[in-house]
Amino acid sequence: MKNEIVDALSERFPGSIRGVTELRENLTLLELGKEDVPRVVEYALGSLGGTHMTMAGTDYTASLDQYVIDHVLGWYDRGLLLVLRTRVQKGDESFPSVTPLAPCADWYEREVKESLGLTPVGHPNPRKLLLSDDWPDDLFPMRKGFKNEAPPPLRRDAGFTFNAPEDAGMFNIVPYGPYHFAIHEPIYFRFHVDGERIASVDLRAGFNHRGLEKIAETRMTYETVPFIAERVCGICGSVHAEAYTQALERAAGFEPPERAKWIRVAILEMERIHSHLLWLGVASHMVGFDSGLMQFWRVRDRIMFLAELLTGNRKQYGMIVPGGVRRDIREDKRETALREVSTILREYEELFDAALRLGTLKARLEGVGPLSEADARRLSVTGPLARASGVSMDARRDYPYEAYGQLEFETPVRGEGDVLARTIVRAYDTFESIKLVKQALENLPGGPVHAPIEYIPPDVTSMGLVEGPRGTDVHYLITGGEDTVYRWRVRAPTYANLPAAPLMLRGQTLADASVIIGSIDPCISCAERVIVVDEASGRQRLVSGDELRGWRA
Amino acid sequence: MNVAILALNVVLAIIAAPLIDGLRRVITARLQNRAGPPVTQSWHDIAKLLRKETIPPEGAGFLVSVLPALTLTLSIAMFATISTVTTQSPIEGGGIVFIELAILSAFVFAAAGSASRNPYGVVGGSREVILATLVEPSIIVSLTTLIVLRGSTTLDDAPIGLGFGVPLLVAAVAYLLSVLAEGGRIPFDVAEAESELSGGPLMEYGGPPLAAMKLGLYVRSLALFSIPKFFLTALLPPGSLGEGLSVTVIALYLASLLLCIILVSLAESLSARFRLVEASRFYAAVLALSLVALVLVYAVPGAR
Repeated sequence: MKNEIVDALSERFPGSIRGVTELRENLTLLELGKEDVPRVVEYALGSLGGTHMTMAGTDYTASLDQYVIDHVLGWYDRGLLLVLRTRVQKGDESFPSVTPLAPCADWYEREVKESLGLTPVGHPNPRKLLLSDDWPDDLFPMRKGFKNEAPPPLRRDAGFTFNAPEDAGMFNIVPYGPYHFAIHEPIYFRFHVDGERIASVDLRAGFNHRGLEKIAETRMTYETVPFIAERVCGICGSVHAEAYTQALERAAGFEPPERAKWIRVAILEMERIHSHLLWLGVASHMVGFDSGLMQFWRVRDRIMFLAELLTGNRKQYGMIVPGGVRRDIREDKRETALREVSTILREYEELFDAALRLGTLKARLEGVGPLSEADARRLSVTGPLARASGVSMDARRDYPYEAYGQLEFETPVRGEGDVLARTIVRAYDTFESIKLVKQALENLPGGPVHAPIEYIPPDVTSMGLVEGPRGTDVHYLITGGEDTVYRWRVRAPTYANLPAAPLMLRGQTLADASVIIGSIDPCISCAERVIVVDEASGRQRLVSGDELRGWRA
Repeated sequence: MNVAILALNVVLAIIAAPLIDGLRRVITARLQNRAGPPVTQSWHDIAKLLRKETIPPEGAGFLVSVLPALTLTLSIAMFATISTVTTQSPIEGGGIVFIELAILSAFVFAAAGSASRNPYGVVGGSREVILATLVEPSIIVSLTTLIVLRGSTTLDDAPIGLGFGVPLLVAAVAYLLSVLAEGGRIPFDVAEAESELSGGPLMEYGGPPLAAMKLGLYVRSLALFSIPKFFLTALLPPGSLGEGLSVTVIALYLASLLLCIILVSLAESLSARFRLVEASRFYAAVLALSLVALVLVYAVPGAR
C-alpha cells in the first residue's frame, strides 16, 4: 500500500527522488533536492490527497556542514507517513518556499527562518512568527551553537508591521488582543471592520513562546522530557507526553507492557472528556449562555475527581513516561472509577440533550465561521475542525497506537463546516471518550506497568502521532547520543488550525468573532513553544523589554 | 411638586438600586447551580470603584468626564418622577417626563461609550443606540396604554378601580418583555457583551466614572422595574390606599420588583446572547404586541 504513494511520486517526478528509505513500517523517507520540494509537496497534498503533518529544520552543521529540512506528510486513509527530506548547505542558507504552492507551510517556514536562519525564498509573508520583535536578526536559537543562557542584547528599533487591505482607509481597525478577552490567552487578531462586518484579518502570534524544544535538547534527558512535554499545554498535557514517548519508544523499537498501554488509553481519553467539557462550557460563555458554562463545568469537575483518583493529580497527571506508566491502578480504585464514569455518562447525557435543544444557542452557532472541505484540506487543518468540515481523520483510528486497535469507538464527522458542526463533533466525541474510558478500565489486562528501555539508537528519525482533543498532535524526534534528543519538534494541533482562523472570520460579524476563534479550541501555549523575552506591544506603540523591567522595579 | 417625596426617591434610588442588582445576581447564581455573591455585592463593587483613581482614556475629549455623571443623574431623575413607596407622585405629569428621561439616558449611555473612542466602545455604543431605537418605542407605547387606561399622565398609585381587561394584560406583558432588554443582561446585553465586546460602552471607564455608569444602569433598571406596580394598583377600588406611605403599595412594589428580577434572571439563565439581528426581530414583535394593546384600548368597548 505504502508504495502507491511513493510510486506515484517517482512516476510523476522521475529523477527528483534521490533516495528512498523505509524507516519503519508505514514511515518512508524520501530524499529530494531543495528546488524540487515545492512541486512535490503541492502534488502530494493536492493530487494525492495527503495531509501536511509537520515540518522541522535541524542543524547538522557540526557533523555534516548542512541543515536538514523535513516535511512530514500523512495519508490518514492509508495509515501512512512520508518524510520528504531535503538538505541546505552551510553558506547558502536558503531554500525555495513551499508556501506559495501549499499555504499550510506558512508558519513552519517562518519558524525555520527565525529559529535556524534558513530563508524561504519567495515566501509571501516572511514576518516574524514566534520570536519577539526586539530579538536580534542574526541570532538563531535552534542552531546548535546557540546557548540559551543569558538574554541576548535586544534590538531597540524593532517593530511589527501589520498587513492591511488596499482600501484600509474605508475600515475601522478593531484589535482583538494581544490578550484575547474571550479565550484568555495571548493572541492578537487585528480586524478591519465595516460596521460590524469583518473585512480583513491579520493574525499575530508568538507572545507565549517558551523555548521548550531548545531546553529539551540542551538540558534534559530522554527520561525527563515527557514532563516538560506535558507542560507544553495546561489542558492536553498527557497528549504531548504520549506523543513524545511514542516517538521515543518507536525509535528504540520498544513495546510497552500491555497493561501500561490500556492505562495510557484511559488517561488520554479522560483528558479528552475534560478538555471537551471545558470547551463546551467556554463556547457557551462566548455566546452568552452562562448556565451552559456552569453546568458543563459541573460535570467536568467529576472528571477532575476521577483524574485525581487514578493519577493523584487533577491536572498534569505525570503518568506517561518512556517504558510505560508511573502508577498502577489499584483494583478498588478501578471499581470506584467505573462507577464514577457511569455517573458522568448519565449527567452528560442529560446536559447534552438540554443544551443542544436550546434554540437561542443553536441560532448563535449555526452557519457561523464556515470552513469548506476544500479549504480544510488545503490548509491541512486537523481534529474536530477538520472533522466538522467533512474530513474524516482520526489518528486513533488511522494510526493506531497503544490499545486503540483493540477498542471500539467511532469518529464523529459532520459536513456543515460551521461552529455548530464543530460543537456537535466535540459533543459526540465526548460520548465516545466516555465509552473508551469505560472499555479500557473494564478490560484492563494484568501484568507490569513499566519496563525499562534497554537501548535507544542514535540518529533515528521517529514520529509520534496522538489524537488530542484539538486534533492530531505530531511529535518529530531525532535521537541523539548521550541520553538526549538531538531534535524534538512539537506540532500541536492548534499550530495547524490557527492559520485557518482568518479565513473563517472574513465576512463574519464582530459578534461572532469570539466563538469562531473559540471554535478551533485554540491552545496558544501549545502552538508556541521556544524562547522567553519580555515583550508587549500595545496598539501602535511598542514597549521595550527594558521599559517593562523599569515598570516592574 | 412634592420635594419630600422627590428627595425620598433620590435616596431610595442610590440605596436600593445596587441591592436590586445584587438580588438578581443571587437568583441568577442559584439558577446556574452557583452559590453566588451576597446580596450586597453590587454595593461593595460600587464602593470599591469609588476608591479607585480615574484614568481618562488617551485621545478622548472632555465628554468622557461628563457623560458618566450625566448618565447617573438622568437615571436618578427618571426614578424620581414616579411614585414609589408612597401613593402620590412627586410631580404632575411625571409619566411624560419618565418616558423622555428613559430615552435620553439610553442615548447618553451609548454616547458615553462612543466618546471613549475605543473601537469596542464605539461598536458597543452603536449597538446600544440600535437596541434603544427598537426597545424604547415599545416601552413608550405600552406606557401610553397604561396612561390612557388610567386617564392621567401622572405615574402614581392612585387606585382607580380599573376593570381587569385584555388591553391592560397585553400592555403589561409587552412592557415586561421590553424591560428585559433594559438591564443590559443576557440575552439582551448586545451592547456590553462581555465575551464579544468586553464591556462595550463601559470598556474604557474605571474608578468613579465606572461606578457612576454602573449605578446609573442599576437605577435605570430599578426605575423601569417600578412601573409594573402601576398596572396592579390601578385595579384596586378608589380610595382603598389612603395617603402617604402605604403598606399595600410597598408590598405590591416588592412583589412586582421580584417578578421583574426573576424574569430577567430566567432569561439570563435559559438563553444564549442574541445577536443584534435576533434582538431586533424579538423587539419588532414586542412593539407589535404593545401596539395591539393600545389599539385594543380603543377597540374594546368599556376598556377605558
